[in-house]
Amino acid sequence: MSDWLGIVVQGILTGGLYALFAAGLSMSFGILRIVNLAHGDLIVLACFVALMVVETLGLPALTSFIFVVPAMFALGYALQQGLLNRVIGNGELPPLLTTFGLSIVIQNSLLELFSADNRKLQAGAIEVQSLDLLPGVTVGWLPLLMFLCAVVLLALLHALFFRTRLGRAFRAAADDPRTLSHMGYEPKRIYALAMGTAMAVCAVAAVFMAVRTQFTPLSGPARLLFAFEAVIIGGMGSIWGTFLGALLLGVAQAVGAALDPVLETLAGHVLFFILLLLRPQGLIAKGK
Amino acid sequence: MPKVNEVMNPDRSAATRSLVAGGCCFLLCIVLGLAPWWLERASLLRAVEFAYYIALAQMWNLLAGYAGLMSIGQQMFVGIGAYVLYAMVIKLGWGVLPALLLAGSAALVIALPAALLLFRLRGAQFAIGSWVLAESVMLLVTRSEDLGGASGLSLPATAVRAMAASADERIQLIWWLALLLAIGSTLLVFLWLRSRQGLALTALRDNETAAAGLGVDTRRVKFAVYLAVAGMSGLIGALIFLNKLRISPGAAFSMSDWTASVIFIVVIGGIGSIEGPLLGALIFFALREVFAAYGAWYQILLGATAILVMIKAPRGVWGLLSARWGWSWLSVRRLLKN
Amino acid sequence: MSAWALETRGLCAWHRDLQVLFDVDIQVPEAAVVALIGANGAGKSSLLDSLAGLVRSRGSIALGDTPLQGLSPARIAQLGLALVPEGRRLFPSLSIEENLLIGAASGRSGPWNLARIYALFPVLAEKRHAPSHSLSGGQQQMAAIGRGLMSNPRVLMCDEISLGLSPAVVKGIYEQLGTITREGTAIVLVEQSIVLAMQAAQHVYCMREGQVVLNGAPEALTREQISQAYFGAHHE
Repeated sequence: MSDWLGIVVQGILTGGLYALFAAGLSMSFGILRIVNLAHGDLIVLACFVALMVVETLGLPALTSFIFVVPAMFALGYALQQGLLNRVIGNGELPPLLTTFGLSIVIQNSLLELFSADNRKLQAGAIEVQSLDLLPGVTVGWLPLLMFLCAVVLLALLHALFFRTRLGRAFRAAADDPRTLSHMGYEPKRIYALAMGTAMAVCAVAAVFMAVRTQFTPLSGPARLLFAFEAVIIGGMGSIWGTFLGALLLGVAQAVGAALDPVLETLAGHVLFFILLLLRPQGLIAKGK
Repeated sequence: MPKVNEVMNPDRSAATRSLVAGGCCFLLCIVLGLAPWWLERASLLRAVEFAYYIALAQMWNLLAGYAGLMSIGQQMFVGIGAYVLYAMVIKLGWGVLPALLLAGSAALVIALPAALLLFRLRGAQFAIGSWVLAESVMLLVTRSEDLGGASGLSLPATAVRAMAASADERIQLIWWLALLLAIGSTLLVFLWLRSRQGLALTALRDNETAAAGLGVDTRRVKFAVYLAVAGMSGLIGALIFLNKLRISPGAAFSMSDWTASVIFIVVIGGIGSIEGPLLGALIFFALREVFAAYGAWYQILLGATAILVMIKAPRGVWGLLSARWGWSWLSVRRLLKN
Repeated sequence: MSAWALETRGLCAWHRDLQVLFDVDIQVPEAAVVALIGANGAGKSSLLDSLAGLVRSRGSIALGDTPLQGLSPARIAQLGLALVPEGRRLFPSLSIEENLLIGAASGRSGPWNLARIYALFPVLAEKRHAPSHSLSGGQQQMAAIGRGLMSNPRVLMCDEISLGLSPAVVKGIYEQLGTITREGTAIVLVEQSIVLAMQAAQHVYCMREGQVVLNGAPEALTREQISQAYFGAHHE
C-alpha cells in the first residue's frame, strides 16, 4: 500500500514540473491563440542555455536561473516580435506551420552545436538527499523543491494575471485584442510580453528538468506533448486547472511506469484520451 | 431553386487548356509507365520514392489545405497500413496485392474511432491530438512481440519471391504501383474538387464559418476527407514498406519521414492547390540532392524555408507563380453561367 | 492652432477593395456633441472605424493639431480619441472595475477617474466586482462609456449606444452626456434614432452611401430636409 502511495507522491512531484511546462503553453495559447509547436524545443534550448551558463561561469546548477530566466524572457519577446507576430491573424495554419518549422530549426541547430549526446546538469548532493515526508514515503529533496517552486511560481503567475495592470492586459488580450487596442495598448506588444513571460516560466522548468533528467536536442517534442496533455486534462483558461491536469498526468505516468516501464508515457496518453472523450473542456473549464 | 450545376459551370476556356494539359499528362504517364526500360535501377528507386511522396503530399494537402484539418499524426496510418501488410503476408500468407488493399481498408476503418476522438479538438489542438494518437499506436506496436517488437520484422524470402520472378521485375511492379498511387491520389483530389462536394471543400478552404453558415455540412465533409486520406495513406504506407522489405516501429511511424517531409513539400510547393504538392516534391527532392549531405544543416534549411514561405508567400511557390503569371494547370475553378 | 477638437478633410476609406467613404468633411468643436445619423450602411460606422484607425483611409484626420492619418488604433487612443464600440464589447474576463481600469492605460491626465465615473453612473459602483456579462444592457453601456472616459479623451466616439436598450434606460444615459461635455470632452454620437440625435447634439451630420449629404444645427434643419437626406430623393 505504501508502495503505491509512494508512487503517487512521486507522480505528484513530477506533475509540478509538468505544470510549469503547461503554464507556459497555456499562456501562449490563451493569449496569443497559437499553440507553439516549438514549445518543447524552446524548453530544451533553455536547458542548453543553463548548461552553457554552468559550464562557462562555473555556477552551481540551481543558481543558473539568474541568467537563464531573463535570457529566455528576452528570447520569447524577440521571437514573438520578430517572427510570430507576422503570421498571426491570417488563419490557423500559418502560425502552426511556422512554429513547426521553428521546431525543426531549433532541434537541428542544437544538434549541430551540441551533438546528440545525453546531457545533464549536476546539482551536487541535493540530488541524492531525501527526507521522509510521510510514514513510509521517502521523497528526494530535489523533486520536493521542484514541486514547491512550481506552486510558488504558479501563485505568482496568478497574482500577475489578477492583480497587475499587465495581467489585466493579458486577460483582455485573450478576450478581445481589437477592443484592447482602443484602450491604447498595442496588441502585438502585449503578445510579445506574454510570450516572454511564458518563456521565463519555461526557463525555470528547464533548469529543474536539466538537473533532474538527461536531455538531448531531440527531447523537445515529448515536453510539448506532456504540456499539451496537462492543459487538455486540466482545462484551458485556468492556472489551477492546468496545475491539476499536470498532477494527474504525473500520477498516471508514475503508475504506468510502476506497472511496466514501457507504459510510462502511454499511460499519460490513455488518460488524455479518456478525458477527451468524457470531458473535452477539461476538468476545470473556464467559466463564462 | 436551380441546382448548383445549372448555374455554375466548370470554367470553359480554362477547361480547354486543362484538356490540353490533361492530354500532356496522359502522355507523360505513358512515358513514366515505361520508365523501367529507360531508367537505371538507382534512379528508378528514387522515382518510386518521389511517387509515394507525391501521393502523401496530395493527401495531406487535401486534409489540411482544403478540409482545414492540420494533422501531424498521419504517420499513424502509414505505419498501420505497413504493419497490416506485413502481418497478412507473414502470418497469414496472403499475396501482396490483396494485402495492399486490406492495408488501405484497415487504415480507413481505424480512422473511424480516431476521428471520433480527434474531432473533439479544433485547430492546433487537433494537430497535437493527432500526434498523441500516432505516438500511442507506435507505443502499442512496439510492445507487441507478435509484430516484432522494437526491432521489427523482415519480409520473408518466400513472400518476396512470390511477388515477382526477379529483383528487377519486383521493382518494376513496385514502380507501377507507386505511379498508380501518385496519379490516383492526384486524380482523387482533382475529381473530388470538381464534384459537387468539391465546392463544399473549396468553400471550407476559403472560409469555414461562412461555409457552415451557408449550410455546408462541414462536419460530414471533414469526416469523409479524413477517412479517405487515412485509407490512402495506409495503402501508401504498405507500398513503402513492401519496397523496403523491412519494417520497424520507429521507421513505420516516423514523424520526420512521413509527416515533416510531407508538410514541407506541401507548404513550400503551395498549400490549397493541386499543383502545389507536385512542385513542392520537385523542390524538396532537388534540395535533398544538393544538401542532404550536410545533415542537420539540411534540416535547418528546410525548416527555415518553411518559415520564410509562411511569412512571405503563404500560398507557396506555386501560389507565387500562379499569382504572377496566372498559371493554372489542373483547373478546378468554376465560373457563373451567363 | 486648430479651431476643432476633431476634423476630417476629404476623407476616403476602403474596406478591402470596396470604397465606403467618399470625401467626408467633419468638424467637431471642443466639448460639443456632434451626431452622425443615416440609414444602415450609410457609412456612419465606417467613419468611426476610419477615425479609430481600423480601416485603410486617405485624406486628413486631425485631433486638434495632431494628424492621425496612418497611426495605429492604440496610438490614436493614446492621443486622446476614444471609442465606445458598437455592442459595448466589454471584456468578459474582467470585472466592471477592471474594465474601467483598463480604460485608463493611456495615462492622460484629466477630470475622469474611478470615483468620478462611479459618481456619474452610481449603479456601476454597486456592481464593480461583478463579471461584465452579468449586467443588463443599459448597465453595460454605462460601463463601456465609463471605460472610454477613463482615458480622459479629448473626443469620445460613441457607436450606437441606444441599440437594444429600452427608452427609459437610453434617456438616463443621454442625460449624462451634458455632464461629460461640461468636463471638456467632445462627443461624436452615431445614432440610429433621429429624435435622440437631434435632442442631444449641437450639430448633426447626415450620411448616405458614404457621403455627408446634410449638416447643420438641429434647430436649423427641417423634417423634409432630414427625410430627404436620410432616405434619398425618391422618398415620398
